Amino acid sequence: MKASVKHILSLAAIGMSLWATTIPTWAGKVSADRVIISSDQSATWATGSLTGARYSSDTSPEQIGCRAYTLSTYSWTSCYAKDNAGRSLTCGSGDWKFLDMVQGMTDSSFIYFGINGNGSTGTCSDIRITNGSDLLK
Amino acid sequence: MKTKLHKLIGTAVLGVALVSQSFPAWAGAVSTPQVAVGPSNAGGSMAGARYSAGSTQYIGCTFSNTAGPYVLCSATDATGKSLSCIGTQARHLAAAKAITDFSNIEFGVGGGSSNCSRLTVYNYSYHLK
Repeated sequence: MKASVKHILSLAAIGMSLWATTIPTWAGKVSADRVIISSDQSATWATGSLTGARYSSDTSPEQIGCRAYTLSTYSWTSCYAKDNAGRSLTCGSGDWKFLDMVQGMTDSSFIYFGINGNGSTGTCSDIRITNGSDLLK
Repeated sequence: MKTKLHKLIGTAVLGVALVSQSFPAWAGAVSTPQVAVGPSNAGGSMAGARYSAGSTQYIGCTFSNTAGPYVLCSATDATGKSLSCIGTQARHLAAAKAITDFSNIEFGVGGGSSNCSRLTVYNYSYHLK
């Protein structure tokens, strides 16, 4: 009986030790923004963070990100987002100012991008990046 | 004898598990300052803010280049005190683009305005979590 209690206490101590070492991951301000696609009469836009999308728990996984494609005289930047309802938005542009934005992205960035008008694809009208401590996993 | 051997192996496995969990915290030089906000300056590390004890601290920057360079940096310390600055120069954008997940960021506002008088990004090994 005494041995059994000792065994339980040992297991409890081990559990607490392992739990305590992982606690810091969950402290601090956190904003794991999920992917949202919105629109009004004149524009459609998508927002979300890479960490929020990557670690979303839906059966229909969210996605968001941008791609930079460069040749010697030409660049093409595109951004893509898919929300948990399966709705998607893609924008693309050959303007170098948008390539600039992708260069500033990290593994945890929050992305905002939009197109003029309503639809699921179009020319990028805006790309904004946020790199904040609250976005870290 | 067999029971003793089992116990010994169990203890060894447990020891390795515990040691490997704590390795990153103890290896190398580490400096992850928490967020500090003054009247015209603010600074702190991304890791220091994210992994702080409370749920208030924040530091980071938003940037775009759609209608020219635009950077908005903000910081909030543990007491809730905040400071923000806006930069519209190419150099501000270049600095903001250098921010990584584990940067240490410092910025200042000047002349009673909200314009960024400086924005410094430190990317050093000792700022990693």
